[in-house]
Amino acid sequence: MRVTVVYYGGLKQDVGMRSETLELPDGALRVGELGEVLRERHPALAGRLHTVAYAVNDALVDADYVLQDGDEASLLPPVSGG
Amino acid sequence: MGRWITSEPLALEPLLRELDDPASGAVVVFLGTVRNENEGRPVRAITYEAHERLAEQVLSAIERETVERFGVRGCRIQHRTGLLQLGEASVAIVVSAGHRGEAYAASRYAIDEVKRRAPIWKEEHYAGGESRYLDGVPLTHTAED
Repeated sequence: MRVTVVYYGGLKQDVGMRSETLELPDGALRVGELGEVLRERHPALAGRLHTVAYAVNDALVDADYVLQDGDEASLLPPVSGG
Repeated sequence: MGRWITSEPLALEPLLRELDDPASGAVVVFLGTVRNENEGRPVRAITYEAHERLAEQVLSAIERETVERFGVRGCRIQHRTGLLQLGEASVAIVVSAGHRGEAYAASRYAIDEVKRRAPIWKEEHYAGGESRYLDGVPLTHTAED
């Protein structure tokens, strides 16, 4: 299945890109497990994933959300608006 | 421009018009603006980035909660994105209420919730030319608690 990952805030700089589309094995992959996949691809994420929240297709999701083909998963670091 | 997130300069007049209400006796306006220093470092500009579709949902929810919790007559929130210069407004919160007490309390609640929950990030640009994203508040999933 194909999942697009979008990096927000300082994560963009950590991984050196705004977004990427990944071809992942079909089957039940949870958002939290996607985090592990991304950590392997981008070692700079290692110290940061524990404070990252995930959104899939514009809704916040828990780490056990099961990804579907075509999902857009956003990695949201700690926020600093206002 | 979106109803809650916009890259255009924030304009108060349209927000005030939206909340125009003969039963209102108090309107509190809060503007967050770009300050020229942070933690002792001279700041020359700030770039704001939002997850726009999620941020619009969150700001809309904060407006509704503010009205329900404080019994005020109306609340509007707008947050700007893009590169902002010193003194420019990054966020506007307008609360209309029967009386000033609940208007001030509701305004304070709304800006605190925006800072805690809105998927928005700021990158500060310093005088020397470097920049950095600020440490922020981890997003919780308690948007409706």
